[in-house]
Formats: sequence, structure tokens, C-alpha cells
Amino acid sequence: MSAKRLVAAVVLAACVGMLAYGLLVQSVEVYAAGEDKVVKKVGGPDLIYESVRRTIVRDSQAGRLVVSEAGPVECPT
Amino acid sequence: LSELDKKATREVADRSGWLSSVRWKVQLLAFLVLNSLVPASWRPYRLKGACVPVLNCHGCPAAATYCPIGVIGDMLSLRVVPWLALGAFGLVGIIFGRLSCGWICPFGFLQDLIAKIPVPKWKPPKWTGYIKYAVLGGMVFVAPLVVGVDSRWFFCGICPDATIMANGWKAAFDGGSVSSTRLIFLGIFLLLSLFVVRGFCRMVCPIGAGLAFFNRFSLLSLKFKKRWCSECMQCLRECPVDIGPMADPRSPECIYCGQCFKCHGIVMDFSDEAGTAAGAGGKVADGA
Repeated sequence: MSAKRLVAAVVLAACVGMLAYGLLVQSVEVYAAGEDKVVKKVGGPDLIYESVRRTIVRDSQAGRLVVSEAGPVECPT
Repeated sequence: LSELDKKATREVADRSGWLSSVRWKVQLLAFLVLNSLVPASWRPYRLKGACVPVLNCHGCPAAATYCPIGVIGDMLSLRVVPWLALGAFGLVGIIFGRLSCGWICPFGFLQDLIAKIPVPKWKPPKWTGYIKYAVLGGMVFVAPLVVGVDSRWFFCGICPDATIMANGWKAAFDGGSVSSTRLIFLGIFLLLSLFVVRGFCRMVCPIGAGLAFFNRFSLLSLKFKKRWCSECMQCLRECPVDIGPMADPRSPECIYCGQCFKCHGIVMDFSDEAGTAAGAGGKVADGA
């Protein structure tokens, strides 16, 4: 096995690991706006879906994710 | 030329012509599939969370998948690591390198069509290829953390595909408008693609920059077979991105378009062979 192929195998394993972690393990707590209450936990493809639609936003003062009061954005651009 | 050489030349020409024809069809099909060409309300569900590493804006109502740049930006602005997007991006990159740039990317397809316009083409200096890495680092990874995703400093704010497929769609069908900044950048990028073949991919595209990183050791790669090389230099002349597949078959700029297959000595496969430069003093892949 060449050195390049060895690097490829390591990177491939790392990418599969990242993909599996993002798909199966990663989860974030989302709070109700202005309240100290977790309303849902979001992870995997749902996390991408909700972050792209901006249905969850970051409350920078509280340092946590909260449900957007503005509602979903169909076109983020 | 001997009869054998003539036959081999014909076979290579046939292979190259066939591949070129297939690539156009795949690009068109990929554009249709990635955008489904039906409004979102007609479709039961977008492929939720599926990131395909090509420039295809999910702001377009017809988009079937998500652009990794937008996903990475949106998630970083929430201070959440986009593991899923990064993993999917890396997985495609390590297996196929920049193949998706040459065969699937809708904006790459548009650039290939623009390149058909017969105007003098310019070969940019090599350093211009490094701009895209700065775009990837600054406008995709740093900007969302520092200024947020609604800033013009975030790449989506100037992305030509977003301007055409998302803002343009909205302006055409839903009464939206396109900002002058977006139009100016779109004009710049289209002009760039007119005078430099795949100019946007080579100089600006952050997805291309990310995938270029993998080209050096991806499983799929070009191979240079010195034994089959007649030193006709056709691979150098045909290459749309001005790399020398003979000298550097694993160039980060290679988009696997297959134009260099008109040369006998270039092949593309998943085999584990060192693709080193001819005459560079290194080991030369000399497969039989």
C-alpha cells in the first residue's frame, strides 16, 4: 500500500466517523425564546434542516440556541 | 504510423469522444435531478439534510439537496460543528476528488456552456488558483463566526448560483428582487468564466477549494502511463484547466473532465499506483 493510499484510508475513516457522529450522535438542546426551558433536542439531518431554515437561532446573550420567533425562512440567501 | 498505432489512436479518440458525450449528458441529468425542476410544494419532501458537494443553492425552491457551504455557514453561526456536512463533503472528496466539479456541479455545467462562446481564452497565472483557498477559509469558515451569515462577507452573499437559482427564481416568479451587489458579482464571475475556462472553479469556488485538497490522495485519480505516451502533448493542449496531466496527474486543479484522455498515456481509475511526473526523476507509473 502506498503512502498516499494510507493517508486516504485514514481520511476516509475520519470522514465516515464524522458522518456517523453527525447522523447518529450529535444533538443540540433548543430552548424556548426568553424561557429557561428546553423545548426540543435536534440532531442529524433535522439539525441541518432547522439551521438552514433559521427556525433555531443563537441567543448570544444567553449563549444557547432558541426557537426563532420569526418563523422559518424559505430562502436563506 | 503502423497499423497497430493507427488502431490504438482510433481507439483513444473514440474513448475520448464517448466520454465527452457522456459527461454532457451526466451534467444535464445532474442539474435536473439536483433541482428536480418542480416547485417545493409539489414535492413531498426535500432530501432532508443531504449535502452534495456542488454549487447548487438550497435557497432555490426546486433544489432537492443542500449546498454544504450554506449548511456549514448556518451551523457555524449557531456555534454548532457541522459534522454531518463535513463528513459527507470529505467522504465524497476522498473517494472521488474533484470529480463532482467536472461531472455534477450545475454551475460548472453553466461555465462549460459559457466556455463554448468563441472568444480568446486567457490562461491565468498559477497564483490565482490560491484565491479560492482564502475564500474557503475567510468567507465560509471565519465570516459566519465573526460577522454572521447575513453579511456580504459570507460567501452565500455573493454566490453566483444563489443569485441565479435562488434570488433570480424569486425575482422571476415570486416578485422578489436581486441586490445590485449580487448582480455585480454575478457579472464578474460570468465574465471570468467567459475568458477563463472554468474561471470561477479555478479561482473562487470554495467547494472546489475543499475538494482540491483531496485530489492529492483521493482513491480515484488520473494515472500517467509513460509506456503508452507518445509525447504528443495533446493532454496539455486539451486540458481546460491548464494543468499538465503528464507532469502532475494528481493536480488539485484537475476536475476529471477526461479531455486529456485523447492522449494514450492518461487513464483514470481507482488503482493504487503512484502517479508521478514524467522526467521528474521519480518513480513513473508504467503500467502495462
